[in-house]
Amino acid sequence: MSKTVIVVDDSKLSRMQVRGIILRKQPEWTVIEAANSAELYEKLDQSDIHIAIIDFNMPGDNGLEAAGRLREVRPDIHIAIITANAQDSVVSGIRALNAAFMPKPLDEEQVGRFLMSANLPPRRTTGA
Amino acid sequence: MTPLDALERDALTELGNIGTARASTALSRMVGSTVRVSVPTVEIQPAAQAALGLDASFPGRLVVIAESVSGIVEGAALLAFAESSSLDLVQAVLPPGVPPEDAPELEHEALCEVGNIVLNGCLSTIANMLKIEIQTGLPAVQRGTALDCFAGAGVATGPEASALIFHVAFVVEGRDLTGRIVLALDARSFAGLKTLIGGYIARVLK
Repeated sequence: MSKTVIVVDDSKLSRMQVRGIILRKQPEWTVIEAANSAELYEKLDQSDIHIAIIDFNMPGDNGLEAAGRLREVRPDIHIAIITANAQDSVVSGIRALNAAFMPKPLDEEQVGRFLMSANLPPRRTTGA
Repeated sequence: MTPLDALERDALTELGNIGTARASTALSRMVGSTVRVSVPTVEIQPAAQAALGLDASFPGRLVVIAESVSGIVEGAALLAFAESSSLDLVQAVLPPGVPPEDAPELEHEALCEVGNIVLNGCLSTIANMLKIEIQTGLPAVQRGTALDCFAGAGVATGPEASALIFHVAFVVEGRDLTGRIVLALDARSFAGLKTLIGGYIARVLK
């Protein structure tokens, strides 16, 4: 099934890089971009977004704050946060949001694995 | 000096962003607290102007740990704090069990160690991403105004001396400790840097 991914990063070059990786791995998918968290919030209502890949260090709300807000309004979205900042507080914040930690510089195969995991049907708890 | 186009500036900012994020991780482990890092800026400006901006960020004199940078790019990397918070930083990085009264004696050594880890963490990340080797000098502690510290670190500060200034601010949470990481790259290495950035952009976008 085709998915829509939003890439949130204040660096245009980084958005271009992530867009390129996504479309190499999943050519049928749609990629939209936001240059900061405010743009992410605006675009949430405009498209049926399934996956968000969010930079951590941005002007305005940082990636963790944006992901937290996103979780509140759209708990079903798959989220990855990309950062070279591997401080314990950042990594634990990412885990607490049930988001994926994606270290910079980006590893294309790791992004590919995240996209594949986000493409799997949701796990069901059957209670059996 | 040929100005950077928007994508080159973006790439350089991003390289610095990744470098300082790695450095903040190392600093955070050393001080045992979260380190918040600002969004970096990249400007081509006289180094003296950048020094004035740095002075305005801190009360009183600065303490700066500086390392020279040489290779394809030339300049200096600096870690700056208010001199008044220098001992707080030293106490934060000393191992448990060292009495606070011993901190002044260990100050110089501890500052050099912090500077070395933070600045090399940043520079080595940038060098790897540009696929170059950057040589760094030994850390040296400078004190005074930012202009004094720039001059002491070998940064040209004359009225005609423009440099590429990369600047990021950070705050150590839970302690009254703020600092700046500054890279001042000499204009003479600018053409080489533009070529390197072009190569980096091409690799990222394939």
